[in-house]
Amino acid sequence: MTWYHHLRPSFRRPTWWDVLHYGTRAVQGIGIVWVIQNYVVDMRSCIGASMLPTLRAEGTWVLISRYPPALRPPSLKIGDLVSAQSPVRPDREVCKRVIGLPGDTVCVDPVGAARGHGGWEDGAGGREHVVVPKGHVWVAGDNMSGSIDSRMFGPISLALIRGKVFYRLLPNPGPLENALHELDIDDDD
Amino acid sequence: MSFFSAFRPYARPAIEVLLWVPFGMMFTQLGYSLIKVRGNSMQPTFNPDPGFGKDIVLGNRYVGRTEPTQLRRGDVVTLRDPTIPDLLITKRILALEGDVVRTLPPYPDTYVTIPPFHAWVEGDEPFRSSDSNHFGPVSLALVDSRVEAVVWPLSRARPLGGVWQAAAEEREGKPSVLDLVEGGQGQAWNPFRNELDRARRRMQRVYVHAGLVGGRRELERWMRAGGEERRGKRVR
Repeated sequence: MTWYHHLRPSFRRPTWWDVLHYGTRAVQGIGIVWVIQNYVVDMRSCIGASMLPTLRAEGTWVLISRYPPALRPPSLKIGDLVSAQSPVRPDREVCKRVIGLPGDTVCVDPVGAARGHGGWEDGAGGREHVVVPKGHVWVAGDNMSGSIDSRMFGPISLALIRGKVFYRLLPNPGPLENALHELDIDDDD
Repeated sequence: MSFFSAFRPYARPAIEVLLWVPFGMMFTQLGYSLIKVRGNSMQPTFNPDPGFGKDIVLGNRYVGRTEPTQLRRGDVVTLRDPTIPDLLITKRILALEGDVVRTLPPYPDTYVTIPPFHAWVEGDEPFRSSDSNHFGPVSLALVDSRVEAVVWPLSRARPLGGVWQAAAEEREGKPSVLDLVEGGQGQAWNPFRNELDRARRRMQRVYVHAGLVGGRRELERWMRAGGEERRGKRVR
């Protein structure tokens, strides 16, 4: 008779078999959670000023889709928010917007926020253009003066794209939709 | 008796086994994994005779995924092909950040300085390999695993590492024990001598730390002044 029997008289001291059983279940549960976080959906807080009008700098809780087929070009479209492994910082995952897909021609620095690419500070507005190579994407932050992105390190491989950011949880919950719509300027309709 | 009730006695053990599958996936992605190597770009280290079969190697994904800065020159790694993102390729790291590499023909420039957190990877077979000479320096974030050992076939099973890493350290200027290998007498030393020859010849094209500002001499002065320990303090 120990103190906890006043709280739960039916309590039985766990045997080593119990410890083994629940420990096994805990390990299996960790595995299931890891698989869901890495192949289905993950919840993260994006911290930093690089996506400022879209995501606030102090941290926004978002849902990231990790479903692998959604991260390749037919379903990955220009204007999607993606989370990618940084090619220049170890252990860092960054949230950026897809600007160019393989084969597209991209203006490196249209507003001259990052110097040295022929932006307005260098004289003329954004003269340097590159073609995004096969298997790569061009990513950039929405806050062009406070973002380290493809303007600095060039196009990144699609293998570094780890997820698609599709829902904002906190604050101001709502879907983060692709705000880019194709203009229909055909004459015949 | 219905279909499901006939299998009822086997349902519980089957679920018990299936519950381990996610943990197994986690272990192979975060820990160690057996990887089958196809193709002949890493001859003669892997698949020396093409018709014989596929080598199976042991990959350390912990280092490759979570601590890629621990990789050294001479390590064999598997990495995602930068131009074909779903393809896993096996290559050897020749140079790390700050090094200068003398490139081979398909690459447009003769010399290239490796940018921070990038590496120069090449296959051991120089002519049948699509490597950094085609796609340039690769980010270490693309590295999937470090290959620790050949596991299959058993006749060639061995830990990788040793000669190539030592040949790279020789280029760094560190004292090495490779002269012992070179001076070894007898037939038994031949494989090691051949590998050492190949490693040294390949590493001739790598100028370790030469891309640092000030070059090698600047780095040595910095190391003599105390290296990393003195970083925060004012240096005269």
